Amino acid sequence: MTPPAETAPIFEEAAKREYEYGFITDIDSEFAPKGLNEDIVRFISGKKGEPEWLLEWRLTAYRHWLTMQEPKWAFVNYPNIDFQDAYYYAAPKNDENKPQSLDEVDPKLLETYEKLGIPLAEQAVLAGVAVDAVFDSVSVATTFKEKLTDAGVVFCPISEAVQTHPELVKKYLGTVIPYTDNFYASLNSAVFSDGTFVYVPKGVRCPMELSTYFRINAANTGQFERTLIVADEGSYVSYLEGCTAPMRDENQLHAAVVELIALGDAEIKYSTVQNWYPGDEEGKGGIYNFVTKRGVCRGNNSKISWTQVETGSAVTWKYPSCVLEGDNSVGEFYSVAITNNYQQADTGTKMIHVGKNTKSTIISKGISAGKGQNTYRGLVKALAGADQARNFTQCDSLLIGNECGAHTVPYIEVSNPATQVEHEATTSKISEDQLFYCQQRGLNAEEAVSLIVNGFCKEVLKELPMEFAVEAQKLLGVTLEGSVG
Amino acid sequence: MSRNDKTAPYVESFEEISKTLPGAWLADTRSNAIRQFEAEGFPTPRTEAWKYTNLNRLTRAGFNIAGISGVSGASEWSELVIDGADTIVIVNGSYDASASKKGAVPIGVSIAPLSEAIERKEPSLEGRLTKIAPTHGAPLVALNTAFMREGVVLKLGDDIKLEQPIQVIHFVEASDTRLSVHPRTLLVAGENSSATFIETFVGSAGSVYWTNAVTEIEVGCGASILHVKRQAESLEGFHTALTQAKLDRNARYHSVSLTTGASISRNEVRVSFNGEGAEALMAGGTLLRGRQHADNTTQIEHTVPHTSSNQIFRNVLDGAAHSVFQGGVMVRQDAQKTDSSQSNHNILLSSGAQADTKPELQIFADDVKCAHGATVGDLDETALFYLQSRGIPARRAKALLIEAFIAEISDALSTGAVRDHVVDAVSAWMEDLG
Repeated sequence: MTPPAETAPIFEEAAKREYEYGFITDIDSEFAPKGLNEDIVRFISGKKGEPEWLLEWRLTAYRHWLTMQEPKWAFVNYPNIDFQDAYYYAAPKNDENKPQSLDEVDPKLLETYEKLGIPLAEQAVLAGVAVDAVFDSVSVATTFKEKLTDAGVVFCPISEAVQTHPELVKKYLGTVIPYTDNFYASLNSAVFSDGTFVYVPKGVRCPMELSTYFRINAANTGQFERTLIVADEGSYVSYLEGCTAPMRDENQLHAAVVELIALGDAEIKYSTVQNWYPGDEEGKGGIYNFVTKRGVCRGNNSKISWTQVETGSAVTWKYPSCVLEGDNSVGEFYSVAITNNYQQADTGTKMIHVGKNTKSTIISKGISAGKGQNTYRGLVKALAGADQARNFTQCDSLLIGNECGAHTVPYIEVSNPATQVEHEATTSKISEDQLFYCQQRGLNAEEAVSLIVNGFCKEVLKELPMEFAVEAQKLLGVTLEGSVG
Repeated sequence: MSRNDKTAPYVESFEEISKTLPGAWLADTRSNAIRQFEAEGFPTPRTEAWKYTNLNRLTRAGFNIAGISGVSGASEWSELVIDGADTIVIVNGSYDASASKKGAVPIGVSIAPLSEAIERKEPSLEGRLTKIAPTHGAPLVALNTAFMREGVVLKLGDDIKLEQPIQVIHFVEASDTRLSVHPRTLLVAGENSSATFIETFVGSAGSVYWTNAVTEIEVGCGASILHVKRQAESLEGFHTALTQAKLDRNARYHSVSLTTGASISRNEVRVSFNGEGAEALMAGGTLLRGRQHADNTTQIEHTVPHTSSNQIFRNVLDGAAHSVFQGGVMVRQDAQKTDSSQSNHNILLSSGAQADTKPELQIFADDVKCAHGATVGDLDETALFYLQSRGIPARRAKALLIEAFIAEISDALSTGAVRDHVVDAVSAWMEDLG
C-alpha cells in the first residue's frame, strides 16, 4: 500500500487560464489497494472503526450492486468505466492523529484552501460560516463546532457521527435512498468514505449556514461522499456544498449520495455550486459526476429547497428530488446547468406529491455552448391521494453556437383530478439585438454574453445564499469563456 | 407467458396463410417482417417509447388474422359517413365494393383498394409501400407489413386539387372469433396537389378485435394534405396505429384526430421533413371514460432548415380512464430556423382518471424557436360557478367548458362537413357525461 509518488505541483500559467482552480497539492495519501471486492469494503469499514451493523449494510449494498447494470438511458456518452481499475479509499496521511486545531493542519492543505480563496479561519470569522472541509475523503478540520454544539446542532463528518450519534445515523441512513436505489447509490452505500452529517434538533434554527468544501485530490480515486441531513420538527437549516477540483488527465468518478429528511414544520435549504474539472477543450479528462440526491418532507408543513449551479464535470447525471409526503409540504428546485466544450449534463428533478396541498416549483435554466449537451429530465408525479397538489415547472434553454444541444424531457404523471400541474419550456439563442446593444454600450462580446446569461439565470441565482451568489455569477462568466467570437 | 408464447401464434398463422396474401413480389418483404416481429416481440413498457402503455391485455387476448370475408350487410358505420365524401368501406379487413360510394374521380387521381394495387404492382407503390414507414424498432409495423391485405392507395397527380373529401371506413363486425385486421394505406400527393383524407375506424358495439393500422403518406413539393382520423372503435376493441408522413419542400401536412373508442389504443404519428419551407400541424382530441386507455405519441424530425411544426393535444378523462401523450421533437444540427411548438392539456373529471404526459424536445441547432407546454388539472371551479350563477345547469355548464377546451382541435379544421362531423362527435360523447 505504498502510495504512488505524487508529482510536484503542476501550475502552468496556460493551464491556469483554462481552469482557474487547477492545481495539485502534494500530500501523501493512504490508499486501499486498487479494485473493489468484499475485502475492500471491509478495509474501508475497518479504517473507520465502524460498528458491525454498518459493515453489514455496506456488504449487503455491495452484493446488491454486483447484480445491477450501469444505467444507460441518459443522454450522455462516456467510455466504459472499469470499476476494478480505481482506488476506493484514500485518506490524508495523518489520519491516525487528527489535528486538533488549524495550527496542526498540514500547511500544504491550508495553502490549497488559500488558493481556492477559502482561508478557513478568515472565512469562518468574516462570513460566519462553519467549514467542515473535506479533503479527499476524511475531514481534517472543523470549525465553529462549539457554537453549533451550544445550539444542539450536530455537524460533523459522518464517520464521526457513526461513533458519537450511532442511534441517529442508524435511524435515518438509507431511509431516503436505500442501497437498492440505483447503480451508483448502491456503489456509494458499499464504499462511501466520508461525508457530512447534520442533525438539527426540534425547534432549532441553525445559527449559521453550514458549508462543506469538497475536493478530489488523489489521482484515480473515486470520491464517494455520503451526506445525511436531518431537520427535526420545527427546525431550519441551510447547507452549502461547493466543489472545485484540481486539473487531471484521467477521468475520475464521483458518485455521491445526499439524503435530506425534513420532519414536521422543518425546512432544509440545500445549495450547491458544482465546479469539478470539466475536461480540456478536446473533451479529455474531467470528472464523472453521478450523484443521487433526494429529500423527503416527512412531516406536515415541511419544506425542502434545492438550488444548484452546475458548471463543471465532464459528465453530470444528477436529479435532486423531493418526496412530498407530509400534507402542505413544499418542494423547490432551482437549477442552472452550463455545458461548454464537450461537457454533458443530464440533470433535473423529481417531485413526488403524496400528501394533500403539497406544492412544488421547478425552475431550470440550461445553457449549452461549444459542443456541450444539456438535458433537463424531470418527473412531476401526483399520486391519487395528493388532493389540491400544485406544481409549476419552467425550463428554459439557451444555445450558444451551432454545435451544442439542448434537450428537454419532462415526465408528468397525474392521478388526482384536484391537482394543477403546469409545465412550460422554451429554447432560444442569445439574440443578435441584445449582443449588439451591450457591445454598442462598450462591453466586449464575452462580457455581454456573461451579462445576458446572468440575466437569464437570475431567477435561480437569487435563491443562492449571498456568499455563493457572488461566486456563482463569476463562475458563469468563466465557464463560458471562449464560447463566442 | 414468455415473449415467444405471445408472438408464436402470429408466426404460425403467417406460415399458414402467407401464400394467400396478395403480391408474390412482396413475399420476401413479408417474411423478413415477420422474422423481425418474432425477434423484437410485442412492445413492452420496458421500452421508453411504450413506457406508459401496456399491451398485456392485448397480447393475452389472442387474435386470429382476418381472412377474406364476404359482404356482411351490417351498416353500423353508416352514421360516421361524412356528407359529400367519396367513401371506401373495408369490412373485417376486406374491401366492400357494394358499400363503397365513389363519385367521378378527376383525371390524374387514382383510388384503388390495396389488394388490387399490389396485384397490379402499381408504379406508385414502388419505393413507397413499406418503405416510408420502416419496420426497424417498430414490431407492430412489422406485423402489419407481414399481414397487410387491404387498405387504400390514393395517388394525386401534380396540381390536382381534389374537392370532395376521400373517406376510408374500416369496420369490424361482431364475430365469434377474435379478429385482428392489419390495414395499410398509402397516400401519394404530387406537386402542388391538395386533398382531404379521412380515416374512420369503427366496430360493432361490444365486439373484441384488434386493428393494427399503418398509414404511409408522401406529400410532394407545395402539396397540401389534410388528414383526419376518427377512432371510434368498439369499447372492447384494441387499436394500434402508426402514421408516417414524409414532407417535401413547401409541403403542408395537417393531421387532426379524434379518439373516443377502443379499450386500449395507441396512435403514433411520425413526420419527417425532406425539404425547406414545409409545415406540419398535428392536433389530437381524446375523450375517454370507463377504463379506456389512449396513447398519442408523436415523433417529428426536423432535418432541414426553415420548417415548422405545431402539436396541439387535448385530453378529457372521466371514470378511471388513462391518457398518455408522448410528444417528440428532434431538431438536427442542420435544421436552423426551425419553429416548433407542442402543447398537451389534460382535464381530469374524476378521481380515478390518470394523465401521463411527456413532451420531449431534442435540439441540436441554435437558431431555432422551440417551446412546449403541458398542464393537468380539473375544470375551473370559478368558471363553472359563473355559468351556474347565470342560470346554466351544472351539467350543461360542464359540457360547455369541455367543448371550449376541445374546440382547439376542431378549430384546426376549416368550416364544412368534416368540421361538423368532429364537433358532432364531441357533442355526442358529452351526451353520456354524468
